[in-house]
Amino acid sequence: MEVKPSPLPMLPVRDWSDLPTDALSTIFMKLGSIEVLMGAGLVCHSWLAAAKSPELWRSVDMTRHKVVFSKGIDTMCAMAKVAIDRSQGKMESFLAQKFVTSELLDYIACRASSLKSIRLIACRNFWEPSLAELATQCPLLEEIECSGNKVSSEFLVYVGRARPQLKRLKIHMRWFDEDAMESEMEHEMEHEMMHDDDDDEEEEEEEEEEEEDEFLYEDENVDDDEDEGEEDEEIEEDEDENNDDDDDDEEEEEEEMEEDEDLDEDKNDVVEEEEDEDMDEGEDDENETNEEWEVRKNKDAFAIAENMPELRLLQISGNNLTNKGVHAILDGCPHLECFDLSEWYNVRVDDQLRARCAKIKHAWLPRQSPRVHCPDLRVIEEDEGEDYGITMQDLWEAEVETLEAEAKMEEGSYGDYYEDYSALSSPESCVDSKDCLASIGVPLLQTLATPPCCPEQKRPPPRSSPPAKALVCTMEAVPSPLPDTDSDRDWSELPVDALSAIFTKLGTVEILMGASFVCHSCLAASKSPELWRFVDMTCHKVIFSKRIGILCAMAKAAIDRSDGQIESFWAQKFVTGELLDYIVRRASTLKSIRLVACTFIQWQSLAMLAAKCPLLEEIECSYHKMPADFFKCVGRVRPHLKRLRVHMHYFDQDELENELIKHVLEEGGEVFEEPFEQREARRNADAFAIAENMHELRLLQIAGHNLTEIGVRAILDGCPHLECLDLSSCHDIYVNGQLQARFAMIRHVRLPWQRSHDGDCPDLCAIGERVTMADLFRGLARSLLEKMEMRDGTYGDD
Amino acid sequence: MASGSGAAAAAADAEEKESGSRMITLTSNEGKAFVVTEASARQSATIRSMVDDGGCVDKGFPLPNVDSKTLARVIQYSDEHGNKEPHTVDERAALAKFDRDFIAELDADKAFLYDVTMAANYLHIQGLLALTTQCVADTIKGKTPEEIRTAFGIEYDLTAQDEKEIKEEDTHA
Repeated sequence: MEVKPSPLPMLPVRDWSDLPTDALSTIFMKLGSIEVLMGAGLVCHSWLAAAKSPELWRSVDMTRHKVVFSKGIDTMCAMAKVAIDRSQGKMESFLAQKFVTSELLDYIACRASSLKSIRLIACRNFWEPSLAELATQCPLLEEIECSGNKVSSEFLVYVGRARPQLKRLKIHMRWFDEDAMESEMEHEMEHEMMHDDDDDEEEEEEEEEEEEDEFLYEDENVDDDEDEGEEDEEIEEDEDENNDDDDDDEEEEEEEMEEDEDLDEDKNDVVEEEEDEDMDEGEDDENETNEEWEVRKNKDAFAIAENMPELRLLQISGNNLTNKGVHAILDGCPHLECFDLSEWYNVRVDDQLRARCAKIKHAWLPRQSPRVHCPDLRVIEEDEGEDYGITMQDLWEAEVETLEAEAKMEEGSYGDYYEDYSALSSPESCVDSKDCLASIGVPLLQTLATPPCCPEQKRPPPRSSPPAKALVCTMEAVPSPLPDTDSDRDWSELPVDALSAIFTKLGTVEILMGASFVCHSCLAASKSPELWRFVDMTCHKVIFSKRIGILCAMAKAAIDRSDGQIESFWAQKFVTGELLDYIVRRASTLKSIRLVACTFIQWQSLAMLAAKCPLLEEIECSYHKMPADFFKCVGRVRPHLKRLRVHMHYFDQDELENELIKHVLEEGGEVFEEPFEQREARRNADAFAIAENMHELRLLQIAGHNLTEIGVRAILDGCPHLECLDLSSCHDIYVNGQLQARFAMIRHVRLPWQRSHDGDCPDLCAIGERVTMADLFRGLARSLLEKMEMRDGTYGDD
Repeated sequence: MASGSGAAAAAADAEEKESGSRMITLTSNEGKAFVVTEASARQSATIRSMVDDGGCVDKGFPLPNVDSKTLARVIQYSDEHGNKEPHTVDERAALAKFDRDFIAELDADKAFLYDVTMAANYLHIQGLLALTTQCVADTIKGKTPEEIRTAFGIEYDLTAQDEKEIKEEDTHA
C-alpha cells in the first residue's frame, strides 16, 4: 500500500462491491426501504445479496419519499410485498404512507405474524376491518397508527378487544371543528326559514332531493347569473344535511357497538339501520341534549378507555373529544406515559386536568405551542417527504442544525456541504417532483387562479354540468367570470366537508375528471370515502365519448376511494364483467346496482355480484335482455330484493314470427302451431321467475316487456308488497276490469299506454329519460349550428 | 519500537488508571505507531474488548487491516469524540461541526471514504461507522442503480439468476 504510485484520487480504486455485508447493512438501514428496493439493491451481486438479508427488513419504512407520491398504488404495494417477503416473517415494524390497500394488509397479516408496530399515514385505500383483522392475527402488536384517516369507534373497540396489550396508538388528524360548521349551518337555516317555508319540507325529503339535485343544478347553471345566490345557499344546506346524517349515524353506531362482537356484522347492521334513520331524520339534532352531545364527541375516547388499558402512548390529536373523554382515558389507561392532546380544542384545560396530566411523563396540552420534545410523539405529516427522500436521521440532524445555528456557527463550510449534499443526493429530484406533482395535481394552491394544464382539464365544457372552475364562479357573488380577479378567497382552503358537499353535487364523473385535479385540498376532499358511497356514472357526456377501458378505470378509482363503503353504483353503457368482479371483491356493502344499457356483461356475472353482496336491495339491468334464469338465480340468492328494474324498448316478437308463418303458408308449407299455453309460458317466463322468487319486491319496473296478463297476475300474486309497478309500453297486456281493480291496490302503477311522465313517482323515473344520447347529440348539433351561424354572421358583417 | 511509549504508559498507569487517560499504541499495517489516550482508543469496541481482557496493552495493538493514512484519520475522529465529553450546547454544536467537516472531506474522496468505512467497521467504532455509512447512504439516495454504479465505480455483475429474481419480484404485483 505504501508504494502507491502517484495517486489518481478521483478515480475510485476501491471496489465498493467488496464492502463487508455488515457495513453494507448499516448503509442500507440508513437508506430506508424504498431506496434499497429501487436503487441500491440492484447495483451489483454482493449488494443484492446484502439487500436480501432479513435483518434489514425487520423495520420497513416506506414513508417520506418522493416515490410514495409519484408511483402508483400497485407499484408501491408490490414493493411493500417484496420487503415483506425479504423479511422472512421477521418484520417487526411497518410504516407506510398513502398507498396501503386492504389486500396488502392481508398479505402482511398472513406473512408477518411477528409484527409489533404498524403505522399507516394518510392511507385511505384500505378498509378498516382489514386493519382490525391484521391486529387479531399479529399477537405481538404493540403499536398502531392510522393517521389522516378517521377511524370509527367500533374499530377502536374491536382492536382493543383483540389486542388488549396494545401500547401505542396514534390517530393523528387535522383538527376540524364539527360544531362550528353545524351552528353556522343552523344559523343559515333559520335565516332561510324566515324567507321560505318550503325549505323545511325539502330537507325532510332528502332522499328524493338527492336524485334530482344534480339535474336541478345543471338546469340552474344554464342561467347561472340569476341564480347564484340561491345556489350558494342550497349547497350549504345540503352540507348541513350531510352533517346531521353523519352525526346520527355515529350515535347509532355507538349504541350498537356495545353488544356487537364481530366487526363485519356490525358494519352490516349499521348499513341496514341507516334506512330507518333516513326516515325519521329531521329535527333530532336541534334538541340534542348536552349528554348526547358529550357522548357523540367522546365515543372514540370511551372506546379507548374501555378497551385499551395498557396504553403507554396515545396520540389522537385533532379529535373532537371533550374533558369528559380525557378523564375517561386517564381513568381507563393508568399506564400512560406520553399523551398528545394537541389540537383538541374542545378540551378546556382546567386545574384538575392539569394536575392529572402532570403525572404523565410527556403530556402535550392543547394550545401549548412549544412541542414537547419526546421523539415518540413526532408526527409524520401527510405530505411529508413529497419533494424528496428524507429519513428520520435527516430530520433529527435538521434539529441539531437549528441548535447550532443558535450557537452562532460559521456559515461557509455548512453552506458548501449542503449544496454538495443536495447536488449529490437529488440531481433530478426538482424536475421529477414538479412533474409528478403536476400529474397528480397535488400542491397547486397558487395555481388555482390559473388552472393547471392537465389534459383532463382541457376537455370541452360539458353541456350537462360545469367543471370545477365554473363552479367556483357560480358560487362567488361576483359576476365577472374570471376567478383570478378575486383573490381574497382561497377556495382551496374550503373545509373538507364543504368541498365534499360540493362534490356530491358534481357527480362522480365530474369529480374524477375535473374537480379533484384543481388543487391539493380538492384532491384530498375528493378522496373522502363518504363521497363515494353513491357512485353515479350515468347521464354524462363522457360516458358516450370515452373508451370503455377509461370509464372502467374511472369506476375502479371511484370504488377504491369508497374504501369499501360504496352503497350504490349506477352506470351507463360501459360496465364489463371484469368491473363487476372488481366491485364484488371490494364493495360487499353494496345496496343498489343500476346498469343502464350495459350490454357487455353476461347475466352470470351480475348474478354472481348479487350473490356476493348481502345487502343488495336494488338491481337494474335495463336495455339488455336477461334470461329468466337470471331472475331465478337472483331471486334465490337475494330473496329480500326490494327493487328490480329491467325496462327496455318494446319489441314485438310475434310480428316477425307471424310474418314468417304467413310467408311459409303462402308457399304452401306446413306450420307447427304453437299451443296457446306454450306461447304464454314463453312470454311470461321472466314474470313467473320474478313472481316465484322475489316475494319482497317493493318496486318492479319491466317496461317494454313482452309479458301478458297472466304474467302480471302471477307477479301481483307473488309479490304482495309491491308499491310501484311500471308496465309502460308492455303492449301485450290487455288491462281488463279485474286487473284494474288489482292495480288499484298498488300505490303507483304505470299502465302500458301511459307515457313515462304521466306517473309522478320519482322512483319510477328511469335513468336516461331525462338526458338521452339523442339529447346530447341534439345539443352538440345545436351548438355546431350556432357556431356556424355565428361564423356566417361575422362574414356577413365583414 | 512502541516500547518507549508503552513503558511511559505503564508508568503513568498507576495514577491515571481511574481517569482512563492511559496511553495506548496502535500500529498500522505499514508498521507506523500511533499513541492515543485510552479514552480515545475505547471508541473502538474491538480495542475496548482487548484492553478489558488486559492482554497486550503494553505491546500495543497491531492493526493489519488499516493503513497509516486511514488510521490517522480514524484517530482524529476518536480523539475528538473520546477525549471530550460534550456538556453544553456549544460543545455539542462544535462536535457536530467537526463531524460535518470530517465527513465533507471524506465525501470528496470516495476511495478514502471507503477505507475509513472499512476501518470503522473493523474497529467497531459505532459513531464513525454511522457517520461514514450515512455519507454513503446520502450518495446513493435518489439514484437509479445505474447512477449508483457510476458513482462508486461498481461493475455490473448481476447474474442471470439475479436478474430473473428481480423481474419476478417486479411482476408479482
